[in-house]
Amino acid sequence: MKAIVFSEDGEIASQMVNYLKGKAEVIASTLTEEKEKCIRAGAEKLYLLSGIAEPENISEAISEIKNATGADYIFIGSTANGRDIAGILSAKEDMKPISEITSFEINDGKATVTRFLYGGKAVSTEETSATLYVYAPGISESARAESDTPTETIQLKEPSVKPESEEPKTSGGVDLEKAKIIVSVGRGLGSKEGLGIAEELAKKVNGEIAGSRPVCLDYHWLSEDRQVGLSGKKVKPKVYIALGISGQIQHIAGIRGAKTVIAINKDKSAPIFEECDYGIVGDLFQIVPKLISAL
Amino acid sequence: MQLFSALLIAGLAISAASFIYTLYSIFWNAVKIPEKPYRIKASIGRRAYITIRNVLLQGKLFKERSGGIMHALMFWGFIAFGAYSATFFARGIDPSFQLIPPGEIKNVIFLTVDVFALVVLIDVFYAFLRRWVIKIPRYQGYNGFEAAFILFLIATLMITYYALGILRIDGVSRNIPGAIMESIPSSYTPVTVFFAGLFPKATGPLSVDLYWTLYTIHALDFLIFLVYIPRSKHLHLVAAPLNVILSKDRQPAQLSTIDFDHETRFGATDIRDFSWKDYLDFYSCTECGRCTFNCPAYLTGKTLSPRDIIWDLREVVLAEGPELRSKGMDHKDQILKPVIGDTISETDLWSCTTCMACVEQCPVMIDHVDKIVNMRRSLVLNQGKAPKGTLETYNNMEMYGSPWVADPSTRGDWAKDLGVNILSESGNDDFEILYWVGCVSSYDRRNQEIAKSVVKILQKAGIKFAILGSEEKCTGDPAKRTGNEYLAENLARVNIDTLNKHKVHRVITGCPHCFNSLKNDYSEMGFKAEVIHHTEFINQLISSGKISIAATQNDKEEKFTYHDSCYLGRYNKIYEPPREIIGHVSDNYEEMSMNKSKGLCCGAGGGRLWMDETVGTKISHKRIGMASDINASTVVTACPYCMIMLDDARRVTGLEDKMKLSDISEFVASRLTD
Amino acid sequence: MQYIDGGSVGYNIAVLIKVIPDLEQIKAASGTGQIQIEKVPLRLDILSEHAIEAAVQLKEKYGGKVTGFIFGNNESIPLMKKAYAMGVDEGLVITGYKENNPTLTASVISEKLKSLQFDIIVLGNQSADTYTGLLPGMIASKINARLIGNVLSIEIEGKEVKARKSLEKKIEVVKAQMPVVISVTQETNQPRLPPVMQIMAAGRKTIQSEEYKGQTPSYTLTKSRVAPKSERKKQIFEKPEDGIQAVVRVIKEEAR
Repeated sequence: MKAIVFSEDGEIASQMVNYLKGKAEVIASTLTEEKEKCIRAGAEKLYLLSGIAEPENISEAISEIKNATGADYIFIGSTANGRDIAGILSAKEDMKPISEITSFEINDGKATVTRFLYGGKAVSTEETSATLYVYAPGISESARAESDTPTETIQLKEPSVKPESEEPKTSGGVDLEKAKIIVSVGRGLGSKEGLGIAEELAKKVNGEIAGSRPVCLDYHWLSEDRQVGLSGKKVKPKVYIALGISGQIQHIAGIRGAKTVIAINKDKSAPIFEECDYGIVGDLFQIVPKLISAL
Repeated sequence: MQLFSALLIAGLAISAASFIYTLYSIFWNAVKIPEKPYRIKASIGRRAYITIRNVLLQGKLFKERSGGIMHALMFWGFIAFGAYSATFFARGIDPSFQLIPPGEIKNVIFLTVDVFALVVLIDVFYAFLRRWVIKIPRYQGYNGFEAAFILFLIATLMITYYALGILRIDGVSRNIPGAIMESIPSSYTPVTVFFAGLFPKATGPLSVDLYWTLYTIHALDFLIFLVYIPRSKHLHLVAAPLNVILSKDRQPAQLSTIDFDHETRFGATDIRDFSWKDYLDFYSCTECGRCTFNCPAYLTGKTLSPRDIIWDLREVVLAEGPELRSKGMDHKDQILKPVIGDTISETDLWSCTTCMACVEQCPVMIDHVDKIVNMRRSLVLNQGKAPKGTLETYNNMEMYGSPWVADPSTRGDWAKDLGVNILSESGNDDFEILYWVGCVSSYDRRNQEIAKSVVKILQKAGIKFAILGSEEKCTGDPAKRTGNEYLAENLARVNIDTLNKHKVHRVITGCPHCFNSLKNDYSEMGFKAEVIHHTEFINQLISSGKISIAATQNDKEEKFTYHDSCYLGRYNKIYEPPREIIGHVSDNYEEMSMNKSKGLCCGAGGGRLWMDETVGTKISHKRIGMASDINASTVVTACPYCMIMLDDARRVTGLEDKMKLSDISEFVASRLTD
Repeated sequence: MQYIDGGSVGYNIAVLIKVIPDLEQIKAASGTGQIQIEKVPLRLDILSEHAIEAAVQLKEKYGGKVTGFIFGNNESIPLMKKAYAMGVDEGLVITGYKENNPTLTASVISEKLKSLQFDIIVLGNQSADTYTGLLPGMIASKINARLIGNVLSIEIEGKEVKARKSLEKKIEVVKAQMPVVISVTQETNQPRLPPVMQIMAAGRKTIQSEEYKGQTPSYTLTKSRVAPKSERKKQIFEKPEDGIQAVVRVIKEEAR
């Protein structure tokens, strides 16, 4: 089996190479400017797409690679543009698609994938004859091989959708949805000054800081894009540390995807203790410093 | 003297014409412009009662004592003085006319006049002090000129009365035709006699000239007063008594219904979308500011001011009314401008907690809240505009029958292990009383403790009860009070069908918002059942001996206070039962600085629970501060909304360790004895 | 720019609407953990509501007509009313949807779109139930339209569409000629609360429906569909010292 992986984010492309190595002969592709992130991923070959890149001409280039290499599978990293590319490719190349896979196994030419459905409420295991897969970033580490991969550059055609300009994202680069560890704070913090201790913990565990609705929207201790919950971000970190969060329904809805939830709260009857894996009853201002030093 | 009679007749005619014409144009507005109906029943007994209480006895004014006494004395003084004025003009026109035949009755009437004129004079001085020396905050910035002018007219009227009286005592007017009070013995005018003693006796022709000068001033003063009344805030002299007599025969918070099949303009967008009674409300306002200075939003730094809402609407009516009258009703669409936006800001409309403190305080029975909700209706029903949080609650109420996202099938889960008859599962209609749990106590874990406590109490008292479980839906209150009458009505219909299906005759509920909906809103839609709030019910259980409670060991160190829920207190006048219950356990009880009918809202009503509160201090923080001021160690409430707000305030303001918060049901359930 | 409904000039806009089971009410069977969606009430996917809002806003700003399409089943038909209330002018529900198969959905919808000559086709960028996210590309490709995905805002000038695309690390402003397929995100707008008059008018409006009678070829076989993890561990420590120890262990393990 031969698979092409593509992502306009070299890091994700590299993750995919790593994930598929051993399962398939992997041909990587990404944009020229992402070359460095992918060159040592250990793919058979690395195609670099050069020029103004839009989903439309990227998908054409991937078609070219497919023709050139005779690959039977394509994996696209799930990003805003990635999903568009996958859609176009699926229609153009008449390949059956599967979205947002979180695992991929192949036995005797039969692929088995898992993916989340229904807002993270279900994990679906499916046997499929699909040939186009959209890969959910973060299920594998990026690869690190000894030597550079041989590269070939493909000049992208002029797209009919023309980029005019770019704006930076105002969110300040917070990517809660992809954070591995989140330290989240609630009203129990008492005041904005209390944030210091939470930030210290976040720094220690290399996590992102987030907050409940009142903290972000009512008190503005944190910016709005750090709000976790039904009306905010739905997060799926490996560890979610809830400090002084009582655990209202809306908040819980945002952390269903978290693997492990740790809660620290003074109030023994706080609902968060029904929705956590590990809970510590007590004053967070006493517990968190101890936690930081123990780490 | 015929010249004087003629001048007096002419003056009176001109003033009366002006008075009547101004009133006509004002009442033309009220009759012709508004298109919304105002339902009213005769209820003569009740109307007679409130007229005596709130007009003649000035009942509602005494909610603020000093201002109330001042106004009441002025009012009574004016009525008494009416006898003098009437006689003054009657004899001025026809010197031989006897309005009141001489005798003891007449003497007593004029004794009252003589005394009250002094009272009024002192009152005027006090009013002056209040506004310009003491500087009572609620007056500041409001129509100082009008007030000064009116006080000047009143003072002049009283001073000329005494001056004329002194001349009478001195015998100056004895032989002047049309002079009044000549037959009253001086012993019946002690105040005038006292003043006369302060001045040298007036004699000679100059004193007659002085008489006529004072006479003219007095007459002119009165005539100017007549012209001025309907053009100023003193229009309330005419409008307010009418407003009281014609006030709602239902609970003032009760909102008008909407006929969705026929109406096409919902709520109040411009001045045509009010009722004639709303106009009477506008005309009755004197900008006294009692409403605003009891408004939780205003008191915590928001820009909402119920006084300004009423006064601004009045200004629009008085500006657009004459234009409509001159151009004709066909030009309605061009002349009438939306009142929401430039006149009244959307922010202000959404700041209202519908707590009814303004309505409760208003001496002339203006309904501020229903105007605010009607304007909210305009935004929500015509334009689909509401704060983001509110729009979310609408979606949730539609999808889940709860303002929150919550799986309806889990509504009764909290009761699963408590041996409760959950009707959605059991289908067993054999129960005496239905316990209506409400969304907050069904889904919010902290508030589930309230539900569990109620269950414990009911079971202890051996009452056969049931809950609806997943068949219960939000009563619609958060939708109704934010103006989404359409959604509220749909939810009400579904709930009424459910209640009727289970043949419910008695309902108890722990949520004052549900309570008010079930009791007042639903009954208007045909739901006939006895609806009781758990505070009353539990209190009855205690007084009838079905359950008993005793103080715990810790109670000796506790200091209690009770926070009034608006929907229980001002809406439904339930103030005493919770206090009586606490009284069974402890004497160490103190009221917070605003309590009972003046109780400060927690900030959650009117759908505010689901909106952001970013301007000023949080209402809940102010309230918890009041509990902290009296060093209360346990605040008792009787409303899940209050529980959410105050619990949050308690945590955020660092009072978590010092102050406990308990629903009255929890208070009782944890102190039950065998 | 075309003539629509007897003379008025405007854009012919399509909005693709997905009906999904309400995620909040999906539960796992106790014991097996199998996910049950049979009795779960249906609703419009929230992203479809954003798409409807975007389409209606375009109509209100630039003139034209919005036609809504649902590929669903008989139960989906009444849900078109919400789209009407929000301002969709006409709606077609194609029944006969059997299971999640983006290829089939794309071809069924594209067939319809092709015959009706739309200038702009709006849809959500990813559905809330299956997260597919492939339809925008598939449909653009099948009907030979330009694709502008994940937009935050849209402007039109003549036949040209200018939009701000929300990418992971930046916002890209692009231009393209009609016909275009535009996918919207949750940040694009706030779906409106329909005014009551429109809700009631929507109730009286007819909804066209037709049945898709073709095959639903299956290329996947679902082996299991279970709740990822039914319950949290709920180990609560009332002695902070013990708790800290346990928590440190977990964090170290997970943060490797």
